[in-house]
Amino acid sequence: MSYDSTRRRIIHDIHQARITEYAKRYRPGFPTIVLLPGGMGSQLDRSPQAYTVDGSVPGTGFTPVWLDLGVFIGNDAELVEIEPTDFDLKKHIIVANGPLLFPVNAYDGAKRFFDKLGWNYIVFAYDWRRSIAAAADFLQEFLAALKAEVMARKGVDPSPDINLVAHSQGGLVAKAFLSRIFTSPSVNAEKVAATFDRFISVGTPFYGTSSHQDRYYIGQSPLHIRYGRQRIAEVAASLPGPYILMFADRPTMDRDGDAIGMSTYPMTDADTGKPVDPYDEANFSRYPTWVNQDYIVDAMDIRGTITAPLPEAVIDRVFHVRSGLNTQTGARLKWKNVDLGSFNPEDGVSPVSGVAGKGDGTVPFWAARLAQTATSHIYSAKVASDHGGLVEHEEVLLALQHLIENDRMPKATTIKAKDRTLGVEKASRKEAEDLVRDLVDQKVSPTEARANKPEIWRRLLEDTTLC
Amino acid sequence: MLKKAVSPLIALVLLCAGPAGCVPVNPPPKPLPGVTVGQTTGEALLVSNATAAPLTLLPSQLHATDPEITLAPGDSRRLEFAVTEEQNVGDTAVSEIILDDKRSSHYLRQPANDLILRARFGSGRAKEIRIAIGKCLLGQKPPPGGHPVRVDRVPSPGIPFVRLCPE
Repeated sequence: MSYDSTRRRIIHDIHQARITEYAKRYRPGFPTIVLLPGGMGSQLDRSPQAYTVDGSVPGTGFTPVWLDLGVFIGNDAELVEIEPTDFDLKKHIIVANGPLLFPVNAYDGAKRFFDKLGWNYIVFAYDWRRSIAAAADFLQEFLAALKAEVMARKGVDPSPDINLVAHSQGGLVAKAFLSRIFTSPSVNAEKVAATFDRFISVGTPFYGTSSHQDRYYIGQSPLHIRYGRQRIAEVAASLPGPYILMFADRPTMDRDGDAIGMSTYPMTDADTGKPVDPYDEANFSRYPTWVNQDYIVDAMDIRGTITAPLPEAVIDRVFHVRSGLNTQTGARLKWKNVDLGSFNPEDGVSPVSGVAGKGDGTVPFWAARLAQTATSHIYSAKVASDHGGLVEHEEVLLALQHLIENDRMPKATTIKAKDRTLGVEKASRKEAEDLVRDLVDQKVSPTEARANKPEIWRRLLEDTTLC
Repeated sequence: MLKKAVSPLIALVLLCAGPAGCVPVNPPPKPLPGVTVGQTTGEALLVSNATAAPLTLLPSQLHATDPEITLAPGDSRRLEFAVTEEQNVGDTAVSEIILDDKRSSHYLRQPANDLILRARFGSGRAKEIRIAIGKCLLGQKPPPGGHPVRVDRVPSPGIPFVRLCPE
C-alpha cells in the first residue's frame, strides 16, 4: 500500500470511530453542529516509525506532535514539517485526530453550550498544514459517512439539519467543500437542502489575515525561544496549506474589494507606497529562499475557488460572524523589499508591518466575509473582539443559537451577552512566555502544575501558531 | 535526540499529570485491519489535450524521476489505474475506495479521495486535474479505451474536473 493510501486509511478510520460514537448518541429532531476548527485547532498525531513500502505502519503508538509539552521540551514543532516530496518529515505519517485537547479542549466552551441545548455536536478535524482542497475532499467523505452511519443506526437522515460552524481557517475548508459539490449555477434547491442546513463562518479570513506573511521571515513567537526564528520560518514555509492566509491577490481584490469594503489594495510597498501583491510572481524574489513558490501559486489558485460565487440556492444558506472591535488589527500591510543577503531572521525585525484598523486582532474586518453574502446574513460582534476565542464567546454562541433557531441573524440589540468566554480564560502573554523559557531551560518540570496550567496553554494555543 | 529522551516522560505527563489529575488527549489512532472486498481491472483514463498549447503530464512526487509526458494539441494518452475496495475487518457497512499504487500509472496520486493528475498548461506552472471516483467503478465494465478526460481548459482548483461516478 502506498504512503498516500496508508495515510488516508488511518484518517478514514479516525473519522469512522468518531462518527460511530456520534451516531450512537444522535438525537433525532435536534440540529447538528459540525464544527470545523481553525488552523492548528486540530490535534496532529505522528506515527512512531516511518512508512514502509508494504504499508506496515504500526497501528499503535501514534503520539501527538501538535500540541503538547513536546513542542517546548522536545522538537515537535520541527516534526510537523512537510518534505518537498509531500511526505511528512522522514516519511512518518501525521494525521489529524480530533480537536486539540491538551491541556484545554480548544472548543470546550462551544461544546458545553451546544450540549446544554441538547444539540448534536461533532468536530471535523483536518490537517491544517495541507491543502484546503484536500481537507474539503475529506469533509465530503466525512459527511457522507456521517449520514450513512446515522441512517443505519437511527433510521433518519441528519444531513438537512447539519450546520457547518467553521472557525477561521475551517471556513475556507467549508467554502471549498460547497464549491466542490455545487458546481452547477442551476443546482437543484432540493439537493442543497438535503445536503446541509447552513454554513456559518466565524472569523474566517476569506481574503487573508494580517498575521501570516511575516512568519516566512521571522517565524512565530514564542516558538523561537526553543527553535530560533529561522527554523520556525522554514517549517512554516514547508506547509502548503497556510499560504492561503496571506492577503488575497490583486485580481481578486480588484473584483471583490468594493463589495467587501476594501476598495484599495490592502498591501503596499513600504517605501514606494505602491500596491504589492504577495502572490504575484514578480514579487517572489522578495521572499527568503525557504519559501516555496509552487505553494504560493497553489494557494492563490484555491482562493479563486473559495471566493468564487455560489449558486443562489447555496448562498442563501451562508452566514458570517465577524468582529471589528480590535482596532489594532493589521487591516493593511506594508511590505519592505529587504536585501535578503543581509536579512537575518534572528534579529526579529519583519519586513511586513501592519497598519492598525478594525478586525479581531488577526483577521481584518473586511476580510471575514464573502463578497456575495447579503448584509442580512452577517453578524458583526458588539462585544466579542478576540479572534482565537470567538467561537467560545458567549455573544457569538448566542448569535449562533438565534440564527439556527430562527433562520435569521439576530439584531445586535437582541443578543444580551457579557464579554466573556465560555471556555478557559487566557493567561497573559508574559506568563506564557515565562513558562516557555522555563521549560526550555528545564527550570520547571513537565509534571509541575504550572507546566500544565490550562490558562497558560490557552494562551499558547493562540500564540504558537504557524497558520 | 531530546525528543527521544523525553518522550516517555511526556507520555507519563499526558497520562497522569496536572492539577486536574489525568490530562485528556484524544485516543491515539487505531488503524483497523482491512480486507480487500473488490477490485477493478482494465480501468484507464484517456487524457486528451483539447487546448491550443502543449499539455505536459507530470509524474507524481512519489515517482519524480519518471519522465514528463508532453501532449501536443489533439494528442491523447492512456493512463491505467486500478482501485480496490477495502473494508474494515468485522464491519460490513464501511468501506473505502483506494488507488492501487502498484497497478496504476505513476502520474496519478490519491492524497485524499480524488485521483490527482498534475499537468502543465503551455509553459505555466503545474495545475491539479482532479478525478472524482467512487464505488460505481467496481460494479461496471470499464469503457473501452478508458474514461475520457478531455482537457480543454485549466481546471478550477479543488473541484473535480471529471466525475467517474454519479454523486
